[in-house]
Amino acid sequence: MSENEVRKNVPFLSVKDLVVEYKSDGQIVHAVNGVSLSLEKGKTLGLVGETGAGKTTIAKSILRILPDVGAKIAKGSISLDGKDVLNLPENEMRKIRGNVVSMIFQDPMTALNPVQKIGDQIAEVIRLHSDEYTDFEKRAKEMLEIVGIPAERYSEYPHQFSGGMKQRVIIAIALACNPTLLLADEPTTALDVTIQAQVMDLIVDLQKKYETALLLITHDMGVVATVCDDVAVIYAGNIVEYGTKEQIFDHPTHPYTIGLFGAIPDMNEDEIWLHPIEGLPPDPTNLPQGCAFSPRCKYAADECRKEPISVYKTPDGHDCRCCRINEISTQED
Amino acid sequence: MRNTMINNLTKSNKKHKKQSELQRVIKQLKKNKIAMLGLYILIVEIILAALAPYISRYGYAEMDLTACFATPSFKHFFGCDDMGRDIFSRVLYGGRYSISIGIIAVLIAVVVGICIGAVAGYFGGQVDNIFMRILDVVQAIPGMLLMIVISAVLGPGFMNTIIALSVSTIPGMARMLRAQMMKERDSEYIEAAKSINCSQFSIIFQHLLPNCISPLIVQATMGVAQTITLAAGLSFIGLGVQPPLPEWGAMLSAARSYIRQSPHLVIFPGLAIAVTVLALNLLGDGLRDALDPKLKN
Amino acid sequence: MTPVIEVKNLKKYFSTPHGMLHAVDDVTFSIEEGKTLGVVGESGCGKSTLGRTIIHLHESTAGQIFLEGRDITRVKGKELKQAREKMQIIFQDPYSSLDSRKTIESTIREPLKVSGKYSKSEIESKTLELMNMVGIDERLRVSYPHELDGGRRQRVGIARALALNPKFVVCDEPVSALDVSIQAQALNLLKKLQMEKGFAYMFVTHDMSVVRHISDDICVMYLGQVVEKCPAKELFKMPLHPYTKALLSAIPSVDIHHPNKREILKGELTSPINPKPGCRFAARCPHATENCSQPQVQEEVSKGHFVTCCRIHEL
Repeated sequence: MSENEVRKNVPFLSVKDLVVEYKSDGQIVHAVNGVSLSLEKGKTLGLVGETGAGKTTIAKSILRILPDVGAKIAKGSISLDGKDVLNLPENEMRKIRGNVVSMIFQDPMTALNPVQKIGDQIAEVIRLHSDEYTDFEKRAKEMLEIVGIPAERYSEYPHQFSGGMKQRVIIAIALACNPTLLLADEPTTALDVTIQAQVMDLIVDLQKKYETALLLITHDMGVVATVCDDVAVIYAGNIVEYGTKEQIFDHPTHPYTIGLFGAIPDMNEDEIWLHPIEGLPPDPTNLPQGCAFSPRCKYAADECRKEPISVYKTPDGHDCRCCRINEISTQED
Repeated sequence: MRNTMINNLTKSNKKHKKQSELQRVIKQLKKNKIAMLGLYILIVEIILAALAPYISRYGYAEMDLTACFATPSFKHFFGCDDMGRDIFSRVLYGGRYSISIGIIAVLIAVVVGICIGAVAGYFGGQVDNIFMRILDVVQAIPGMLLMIVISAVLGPGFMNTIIALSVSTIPGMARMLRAQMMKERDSEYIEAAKSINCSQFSIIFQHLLPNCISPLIVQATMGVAQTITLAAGLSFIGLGVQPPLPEWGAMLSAARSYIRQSPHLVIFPGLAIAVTVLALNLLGDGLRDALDPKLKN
Repeated sequence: MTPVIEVKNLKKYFSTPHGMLHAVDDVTFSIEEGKTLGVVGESGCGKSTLGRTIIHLHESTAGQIFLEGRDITRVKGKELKQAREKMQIIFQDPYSSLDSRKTIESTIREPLKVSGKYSKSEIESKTLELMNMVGIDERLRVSYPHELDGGRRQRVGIARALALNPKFVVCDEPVSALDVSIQAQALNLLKKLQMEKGFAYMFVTHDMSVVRHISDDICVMYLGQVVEKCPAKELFKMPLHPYTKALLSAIPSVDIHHPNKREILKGELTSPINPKPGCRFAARCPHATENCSQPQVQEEVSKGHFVTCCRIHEL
């Protein structure tokens, strides 16, 4: 095989066995415990999980913007377009941030500088990260138009914008340098439903247009169903189920995924009681032995509580980190 | 059934008796070595000041004219001043005055400041307006000038110095609490308290105050330091504690003409002030961190 | 049967430097014992203000509030105290709604203490009972809120609200800060308690799937006004107001094979300060005509189904 062919088979973003730990109060927080995922150009991967499952930490590791104090990437590798991100010198990393990879943060209210014109904030990013554009102001205005804000509003300040508009500005900033990878961390959670639909549509349109790879972090199964190609369900810092959207939604196999779907109030059926997953997510400083979900899992057996669980293939060919998938599927039927 | 429940309750009370707020703060503070250093220095100073008569071999006003300007030696640890008084004794006794002036003046300011700030901050509107304009008037006069005026009117002396110092510290305290109160009073837990019929008194003093007081405690700790220097300043210009009482500022003031030939007259009381102020500031910084329940590290 | 709570033409305006903010404008509804009224709408539509105005955390500008048939709109002092014991609120944010310097136990105990109806030992046992009722482990009695997770904190908030056995409870987005699996636990708890004790809930939320699950009736609000009100099932089967339709179609569906036909609204909420007469949704409405700038009347199109839209019959 020639080197070119090898490159072709390597996905644009690939994360392997990533382990991230935080030190807090003398204890070690196991935020991410061996996550592997990959993403092609133009595709969307949904990272679904609850608060504290480690979703944001994964995104921040890819950008290498974890807090200097306390956070540590203990193991694993991240490769981006063939480059080993974790071993790049800081000045090269700076070229990647904003230019090749950019990130949309959850809260549009705090992500903009309140005393700087929004247009200048966009132009600033272009000036710092791009060699492609020389007229920063022109490009900034262009970006405003792309996200649906009239260019005349270039010299207004963030407080003159509503939440949805601010999120559009943030999207404009994130996309200003035509990144090849966009990390979107709950980009619509802080917005209202009707605005959420507008913003999500905008992100997807732009993604399709520029062939951007999108890593979408969310806890909303509905959003995943509408936009993603692939889905990774994450629990206590580990991917428990990973496959295409169809595989996950049609044949959820891991007990946690099944529980997650069951907990959402069904829009088409009337039931008096919902089916919550009993119990609470585990304490990340003190993860249970074996499967982290076993204390809440109704299918758990002794074998779940001993060794770390490896990944099994389900009948339809997606990955599931559960040693009892065969037993579960017979029980479910 | 109920009895067993209550039995269980007392049992679990013992078993799970968690730390109270105070214990938590102390535990947090203990982790901060620098703050603890400040606290230890202060404790040692207070003990020394309290035990001054037992520690020092001379009275603070005892003159030994043969020992004028004596340099530090085993007989006089810190040497003697222009009238042959033992500086070590005077610094020890001086601690009694300086530290107690600082603490009492700040205590008065905190109590009055809490009352004004809490009422103004919680009720807002006209009430707030009236209190704040009065404080504006007080604050319009430069602090040092105000203290000089009060001391001059009331006459110098220990109590009057305290009054002068506390009056000029009140507005700062009151404003700080008022700002905190205004920030907190629209929180949901206050709405919750209202909805379960808590009286205004209990909302202010049981819910709001505990949540607003930490910056005030920090400010007060550092305020003691500031007040000690201000008191020294007042004494320095002759309006504070009167000789022969050995307040540190007064000692500095008296010694300033001899600074060239006998610097130890100035160095030791000056050092006492500096160390105390430093200790208080270190402690204040540590308290700020320890008092925040959300700040774990 | 007398409804537990009845609201007639309730208005709440706030005066701001830019003019009058119409937070709640002419809202009428009633809730019976053991029933739930869901109030949905986007942020800034006045749904939270509505709940807070009913339980007298804000003073109403105009209109009437009846609690078990008694007019409590302007009650003060002792009467207000009595009324408040029957009306409680569960807040959205389990972080800011608990006093961070009070233990779980003293937070739950407080309403019992303030009411002055119980002896010390009764308070102790009732506190314990409440903790069991909402499912908080006894060992957490002396914990502080910041030591608990969101779900448990919300349970504390629920226990506090239900301590005095109220008749009417405003649930102000009680589950929107919680994760899906925990959210289902909290919703089941609220429902179970309602079945046992017959609380009337006013359930304020922006989550359509949650509101469908928990409500008997639903009221859709837009900029302070009720645009549509009807039984929960009917709203999802046959939404009539253009805003309701848009709202429902905007929900991302979990069903990947039958995605919603999405009708994406243009524009955003207009300002609720000094609104013009007429339909407030007209600016974003795909069906707006000139008539929509006239004041709108609420109309009962079928039994129990109220819509405020002048073009309802044409659409």
